Amino acid sequence: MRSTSVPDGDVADAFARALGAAARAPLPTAVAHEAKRALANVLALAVGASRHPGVDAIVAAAAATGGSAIAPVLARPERVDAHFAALAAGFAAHVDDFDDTHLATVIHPGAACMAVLVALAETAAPDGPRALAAFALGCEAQLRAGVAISPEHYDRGWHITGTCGVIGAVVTAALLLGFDDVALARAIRLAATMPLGQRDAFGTMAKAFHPGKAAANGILAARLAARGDDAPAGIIEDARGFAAALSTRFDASQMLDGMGTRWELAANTYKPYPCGIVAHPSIDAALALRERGVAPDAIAEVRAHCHPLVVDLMGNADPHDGLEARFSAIHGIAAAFCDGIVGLPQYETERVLREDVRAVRARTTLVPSDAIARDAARLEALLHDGGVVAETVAHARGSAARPLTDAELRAKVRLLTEPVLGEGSGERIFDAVLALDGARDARTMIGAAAPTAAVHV
Amino acid sequence: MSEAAAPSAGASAALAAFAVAAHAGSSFAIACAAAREHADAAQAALHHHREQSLLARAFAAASALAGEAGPGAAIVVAAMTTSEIGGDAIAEAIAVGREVAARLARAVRFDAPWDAATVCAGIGATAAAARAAGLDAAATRDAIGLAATQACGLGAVAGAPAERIAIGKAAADAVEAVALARCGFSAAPASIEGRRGVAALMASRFDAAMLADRLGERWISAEDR
Repeated sequence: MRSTSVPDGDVADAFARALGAAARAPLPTAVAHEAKRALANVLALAVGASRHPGVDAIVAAAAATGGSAIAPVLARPERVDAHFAALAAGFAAHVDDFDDTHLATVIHPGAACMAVLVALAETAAPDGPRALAAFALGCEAQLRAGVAISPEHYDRGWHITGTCGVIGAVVTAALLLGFDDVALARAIRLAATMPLGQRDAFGTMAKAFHPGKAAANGILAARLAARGDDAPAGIIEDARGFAAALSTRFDASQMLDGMGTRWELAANTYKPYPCGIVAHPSIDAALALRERGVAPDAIAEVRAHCHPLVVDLMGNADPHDGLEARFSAIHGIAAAFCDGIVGLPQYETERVLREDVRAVRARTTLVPSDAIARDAARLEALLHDGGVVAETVAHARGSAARPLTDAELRAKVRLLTEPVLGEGSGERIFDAVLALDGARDARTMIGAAAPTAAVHV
Repeated sequence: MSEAAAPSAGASAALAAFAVAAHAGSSFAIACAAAREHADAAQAALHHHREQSLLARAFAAASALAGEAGPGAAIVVAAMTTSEIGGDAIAEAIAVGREVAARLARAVRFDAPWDAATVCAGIGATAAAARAAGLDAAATRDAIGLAATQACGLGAVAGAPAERIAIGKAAADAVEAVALARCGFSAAPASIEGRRGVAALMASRFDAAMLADRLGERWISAEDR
């Protein structure tokens, strides 16, 4: 194990003290805002996926195992126990692969921490500022744990959103429940004994189970810590502990240094389109051409000049269902030309197979080039009338260099929630999250994602 | 690491088929007798927590039983929590779980940070619970997939008070995995032997043949006693 700067004493103790101090200070304005953006994004995703068969299975399993029906399932009428509420919310937020991404670790930090909020808000009844701080510091703890063991951890085959999600979830849970630093340290140590997530699960429901179960494990660890349980000192850094089991690298300074001043959460990004991120600049360019009036039936040929990774990761030229389409940059481009929008409906199998997008896909080729950056693309469309139009994207929407604006994120939230909760639901949820730091009761935010419209139907 | 078998013929599929179809033979009877050993204590612990959810009951009962039964407590408790069936049928489920755990422990050389006994007990507990619940082979494989992706047990915890927590959690995770798989939740089909599954991530050596060889005929869990 390559290890630098392991401090004297227990890493979990030092981590808890740093997180506790950060939790007692007001969040910096920019961090609070980034936390709200992350939260609104995952809440909307969980609403959007609330009718997924996996959520049905989780709700049915909750009923079959007989827990108390005390916590909500977002956008659904059922109530379940805190364990299954966490599982459902974390699953739904991640299942469409459309959630937030911390690019340096490829952690999707929002799902697990939001799921803890949903599961515990009813019983912990936090005010808005406490809920926001618990969410923000949970994300931060999760990302820092991830940076400390990256990149070897993910490269070996672990799904870092699950393994480190447990650390984020326990911090959110402990801060919601008002733990002091000593109890927080116990909770973190216990959570460090409960990582999960192998990448063999990719392509099955178990992938999105990871952040959901990370949230449930975080809640369990916090409850055990509250009754005085603990795991051995050194559990994160010791030879038979968390970091050694999960990676060949551990850099404790990445967890501990600059807490409260250096924020990994500030580097969180949000996907504008529900497909692999390397295809996004090409989709941006296609949307811009469509905006300029290029109609799909006017197109004779499209050449997408892109980074070679687009071909490696998103090179499927002829997808046969919605899942395959998520790995097809060409489908994203074709959908942009045909629909002028690239959201979840563009990845439904029925849409993927329709003749109009198939025709544009058949006329589109990827032209990989090392000279093009990963977040850039240049699209050329040859038209039937002999004209040529081109669009260059220097930085994709949602990339680190060009973060999604609040207006773009609000539009994404609307697109996700309105098919499920009706018109106005996106605005309601986004505004409730923005108002969190002045809210006396964080449950109003979670209530904004309740199925009010469905009840009246 | 041995080459990964095709998912349809691999170790995970073999374990699932075994969990569904294993039936009594002379070795199996020995395994059943061993399985009954802790059943009364598990029953008492489960009864004590009867007002809680099945997951909480499994956690509490397996934690309580862990002192005398070790990681195997997860297997006994997961089977008994998942099904009201008693007698030979529950003993069979427990025997199946013990055999799955024993096979894994032999076939997978876990890396030093992992506590193999707890890791294997969690997957064995899931096989036991799947058998007790009467899941078919496909759902059993999904349940094993859910168990595999969260298989855990850190060496630093072995022998510490938190070991009871790990064993209790292994039982609760097994009950949850079976409840989810029964409701249609999917998981990796080759979760043990897959390119990014249990053996690849947690071990330096894996002998797939040892896992599947004469499975259902030879009960190494009974031989180990």
